[in-house]
Amino acid sequence: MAEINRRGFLGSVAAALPVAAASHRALKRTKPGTSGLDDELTRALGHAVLPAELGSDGIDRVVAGFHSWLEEYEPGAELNHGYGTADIEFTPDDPTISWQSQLNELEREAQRRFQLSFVRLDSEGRRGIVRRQISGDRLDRLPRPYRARHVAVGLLAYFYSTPEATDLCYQAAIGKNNCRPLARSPREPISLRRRG
Amino acid sequence: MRRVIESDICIIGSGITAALAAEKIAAERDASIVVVEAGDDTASMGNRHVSRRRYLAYGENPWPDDHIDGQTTDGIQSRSMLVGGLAMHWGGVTPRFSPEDFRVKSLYGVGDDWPITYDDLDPYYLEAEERMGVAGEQGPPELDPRSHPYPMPRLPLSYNLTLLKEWSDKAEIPFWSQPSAKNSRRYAGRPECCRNDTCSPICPTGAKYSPDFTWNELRRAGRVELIKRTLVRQLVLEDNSDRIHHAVALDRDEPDTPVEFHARAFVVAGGYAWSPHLLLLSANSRFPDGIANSSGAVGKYMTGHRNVSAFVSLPMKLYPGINSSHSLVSKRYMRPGSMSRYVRHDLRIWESTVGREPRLKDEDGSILLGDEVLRDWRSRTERGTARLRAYYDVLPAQESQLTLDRSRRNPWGDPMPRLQFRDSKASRDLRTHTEQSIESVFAHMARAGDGEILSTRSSDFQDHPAGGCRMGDDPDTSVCDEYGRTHDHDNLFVIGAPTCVTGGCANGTLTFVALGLRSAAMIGEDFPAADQLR
Repeated sequence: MAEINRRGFLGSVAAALPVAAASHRALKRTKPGTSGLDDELTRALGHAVLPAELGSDGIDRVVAGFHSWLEEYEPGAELNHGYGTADIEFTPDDPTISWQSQLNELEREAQRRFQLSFVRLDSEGRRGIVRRQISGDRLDRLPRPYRARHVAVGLLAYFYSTPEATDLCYQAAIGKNNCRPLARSPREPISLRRRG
Repeated sequence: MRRVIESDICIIGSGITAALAAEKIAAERDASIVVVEAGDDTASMGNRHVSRRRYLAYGENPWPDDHIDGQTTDGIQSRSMLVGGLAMHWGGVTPRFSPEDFRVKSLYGVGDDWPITYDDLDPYYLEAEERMGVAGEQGPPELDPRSHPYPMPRLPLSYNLTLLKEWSDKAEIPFWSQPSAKNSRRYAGRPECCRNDTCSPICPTGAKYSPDFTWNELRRAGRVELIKRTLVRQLVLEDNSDRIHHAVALDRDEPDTPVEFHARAFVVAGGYAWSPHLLLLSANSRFPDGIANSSGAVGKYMTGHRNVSAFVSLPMKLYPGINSSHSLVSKRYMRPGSMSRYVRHDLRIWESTVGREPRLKDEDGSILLGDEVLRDWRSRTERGTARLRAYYDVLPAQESQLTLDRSRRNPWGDPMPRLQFRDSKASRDLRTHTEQSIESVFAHMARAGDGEILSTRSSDFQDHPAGGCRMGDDPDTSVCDEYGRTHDHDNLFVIGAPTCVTGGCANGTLTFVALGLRSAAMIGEDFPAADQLR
């Protein structure tokens, strides 16, 4: 019950605050140590949209990583600029408020359609709601997480950008973007199945 | 009030060409050297892991102080105004040009010859490779002529590149490990590469060479004085000669106090954009079209190379991210021998994830969630994708140019440059033929590997821009001689990229540095040898 109250509180905060960076900071301060997204709803979302192969602990770990990623996100930071262009771009507004609103909308739809909290629905039920809510988005490629229009896409974009996701897909210890001995690069990456 | 800073040699700009030229002069000559850089200092090594982490997580620029607001070109420009310049971002790829690049007029009747040959530059290529630390593999000698081995053994071919090499062997095109300024073993106090794979824009360990290492060492040893945040705006002549007397600059922290740099020799090392820009800005009554510009060639013949690229799906399983920055290279088509119609290009192969990325919609447009995403992704990883790319040389027209745009000014009122690249007529006429030839090579390779070309793209972008102060023997058609000494002012040198006659068909940085070292040898001749003093 206390959790529902907290969600309700966050939802009301999200609805009341204008979309502005200063307000994002204020929202984050309402829950020190977290991203500002309701953790229970985010975990419920994670268990619906992330691969079950990660295992329950693995999904919780990814969700925790997503919270940390969002917590450290800085709107207005200068983006890396490629060769041949003088254009400077910046990271967009903090997505926390819109993403929290979407979590609240997942909860509202679950209540409306099934008279259950989103958290209490089975995974297929949750995915059905997510599908409906993102069906209007362009999903031909995963965006940078901060450019995701929906929190579900943001979470998926975050996870699939990690070395862990690549290793899981290929079932191999590639460890991309990690410091690895040069001498091992000619070898086929060790199978995760073999390694256990 | 004004501030005067005196030295024997004043170097304007602190990019990679400036750094290695300064290092050479400092080692070989007894001369005081002042280096003037408009940008800020470079972030220290200690911060680079954090910067890299944020680049990976958020796409943030790891060099956020690398430009000056309002100091921009209209046209191709890579923002890079900081100590170390653009090579703070570079990928560390260091191919040489081929002998043909310097003699296209003599050999093929197109473009212009350089006043130097490959053999003239070979010792400086080698010196550049040693100073930076280049790991490379000797290619077939007939394609990859070298007088000496690379200073370090090649970067090993990754598992993916080994498979891709087997593919290219089937196509009977010789490929080998792309030479790179990345340590295949500990070198010059810097560690062995450990495949962090973010070489561009940031190497967190120092295994990739970047110019800050040279500047830090030179500053620590007191061999140069590097003055940052100071923008040189004008070169001023002596009253009664055409020698440069001093450079006028603006200290961004004290803009009301002009700074004058007085020196015996001035070296303009601002790269392809800011070098001709400074010469044009320095127009005076005796040189009304700009310093060093009695030929009218300053800002002309801007050059570079375009590319054609393709993604090829192949029946092989590749693992993304083993060392995706590294590539195979071939110079087969840089040294084509006789031909009925001119076409020259390099050829490279990388692993790629194109067509193999995770996605949230399948071909039918169904949304994928949960295990469906992983299943779909895995189903597309049984084949691999190779990226092919060929740089081909673009022969510049005279009116391929940088001009002053008086409608755009920096915060201090200076007109900013406008860049307009133009092919010569011969180059325009050859473009379709060249691009079709490259596409036929791609098709041949795809067939040889039972592959399928997923997409092909021809780019208008001219990479590794150069020119604008081209070298030549004729003062009527060039800005400087083969050493970068300007025809009009015997104590003014332009070094590196701006002096190129053509852009070649391979990454240009090593050539720019080698040219700079050759200039440095000549600049140094006016000063006593360091060993004479010891």
